[in-house]
Amino acid sequence: MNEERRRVFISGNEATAEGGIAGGCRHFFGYPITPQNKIPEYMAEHLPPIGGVYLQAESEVAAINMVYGASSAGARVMTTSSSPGIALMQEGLSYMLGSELPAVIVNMVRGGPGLGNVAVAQSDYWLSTRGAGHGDGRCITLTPYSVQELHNFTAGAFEIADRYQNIVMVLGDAILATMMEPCELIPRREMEPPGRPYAVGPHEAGERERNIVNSLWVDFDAMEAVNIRNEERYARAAAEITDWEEFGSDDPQVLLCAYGISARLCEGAVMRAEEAGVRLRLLRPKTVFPFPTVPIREWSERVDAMLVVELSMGQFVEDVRLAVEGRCPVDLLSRAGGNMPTVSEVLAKVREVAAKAGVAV
Amino acid sequence: MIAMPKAKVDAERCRQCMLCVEFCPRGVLVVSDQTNSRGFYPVVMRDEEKCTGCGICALVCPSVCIEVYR
Amino acid sequence: MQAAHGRGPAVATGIKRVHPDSVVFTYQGDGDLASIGMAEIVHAASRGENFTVIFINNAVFGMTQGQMAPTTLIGQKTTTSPRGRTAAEAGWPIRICELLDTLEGPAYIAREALTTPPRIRSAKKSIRRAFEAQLAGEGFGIVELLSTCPTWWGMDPLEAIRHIDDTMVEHYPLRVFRDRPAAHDRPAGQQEEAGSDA
Repeated sequence: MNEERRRVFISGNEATAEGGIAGGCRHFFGYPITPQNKIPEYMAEHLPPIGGVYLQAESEVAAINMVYGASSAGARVMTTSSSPGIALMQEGLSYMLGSELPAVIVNMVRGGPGLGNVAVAQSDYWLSTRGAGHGDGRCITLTPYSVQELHNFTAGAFEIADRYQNIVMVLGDAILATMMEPCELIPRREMEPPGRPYAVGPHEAGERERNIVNSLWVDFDAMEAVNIRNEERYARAAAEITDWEEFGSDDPQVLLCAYGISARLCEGAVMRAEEAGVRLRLLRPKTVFPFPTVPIREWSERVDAMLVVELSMGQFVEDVRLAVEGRCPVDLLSRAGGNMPTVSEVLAKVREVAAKAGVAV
Repeated sequence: MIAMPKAKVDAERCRQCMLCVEFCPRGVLVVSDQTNSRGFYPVVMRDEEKCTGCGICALVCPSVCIEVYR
Repeated sequence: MQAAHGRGPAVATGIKRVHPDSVVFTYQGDGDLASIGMAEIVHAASRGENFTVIFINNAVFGMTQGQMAPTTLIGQKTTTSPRGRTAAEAGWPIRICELLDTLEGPAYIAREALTTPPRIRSAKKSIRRAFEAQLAGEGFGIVELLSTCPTWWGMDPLEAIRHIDDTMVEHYPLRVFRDRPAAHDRPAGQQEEAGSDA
């Protein structure tokens, strides 16, 4: 089908909200928190006129539990928040992983720990990829690096969530949320029941067994079966949806690894690689759980060193090192608290890393 | 022939709380001298003739283990 | 559908907003509803969410083995108030129906006791009425049921019933606090009527 796509100039927040609607989301539950307030505002404006539901919950805790209820009732549902709010949602996220329910959660990451600030950060990497809350369960995590990708990834997240019956986390940040860029809008999908045979809801007597949505497994084997099922879906996801993009020299001496807004910055560094006198390539994951372990491992056997750039004190770098397994040096350039390195600082670090690795600069 | 009203106690689910015995207006329910598999002495019907099928025993039973037929 | 402790009203909100024509209710204890879930119940009631809440108040955390609840009476001994609850240490027991009765949202609010046959019959009527309110789209209904916990009260079942009728109802009066369509369904500017006594 060849659809006419409208090109507009909008903020990351608006692109995310419209992406949700495009992906078939007609139920949104949220609670205000900077820097993502434009998303619930957009949903409040746009959902009711098309027959959807926007509800401002009394807290993030309530919001995520409303999402839990709506998902169990078969709806494509989403909520959005920022770091401290996502922390509050961990309870509901864990219950959804235990109940094997799909939902889309967007985190416009801000500085922390604590109340932190409302500036850009990538310090919720562990929060997103290592859990949700307690127990063996993980969130599929997508890492867009532009307004367009915020839009596309959010729209696509609903399919992924339904395919794997799992939470999909879209990891943005304060800059992506608030910056404006041209964005080609995906046409809004009709609201349709995503066909969840396990959902609760009205049915004729005798039409089917009654469904029970539950995360309580007193029996050891029943609990373990849930854990094993979850591991199996993560293995399937790793094989099917792991995604990344590469850019730069085909014969690199140093490989840059960065995701999200940091990858945006590193693109600039690759474009100015000759200033460093080093052949550079960027690998940027579009999914960080599942993680692009294979290409990073392959590059680790061909490059002299890797440099990870992230806006946290070293979270993403751990996954890179796990993929590299000591095959090459992996260095880290990190800024935090709302600070970002400049392209020149990235290039200076690249020179340093290359020299340490014995590359003739 | 009209069937006699009667209350029927599911002995296995009875937890011997005695509320039905207390509230039965005709005093027709008593505790059995045999335990059920959970170790309780369940309530049994002593005098079915006198049961009016008023349903109070079933109403007060917290274990929902009494059925009344009228 | 199993909700996390205290989150029943939020989960029920999610379900009801997806399936407005389905009958939805929550079943919550006093620790669940009046302690950890206080925010969720107050806001669901305030929004006039069109579902029914069955609230079991036995003044103790039963499932976790007998700790003090927000509804535990002054003087009542529990495993975490071993010398009896004092207001100085733990504050006063919370009256949920009275609290929710300050809100415009609820259509039906009642407190009943599961003790004697007449009181149990009255409770059944209230539960029926709360569900009828939901079916009629009138909005939020809650029935608080004073209920025994012989195990953690250290009483036999009959003593426990008498404890409710003799002591608990003094702090938690049995009453239909509210029985009317939700305020937002009524014409603007119209004053609320006082709740009628049961």
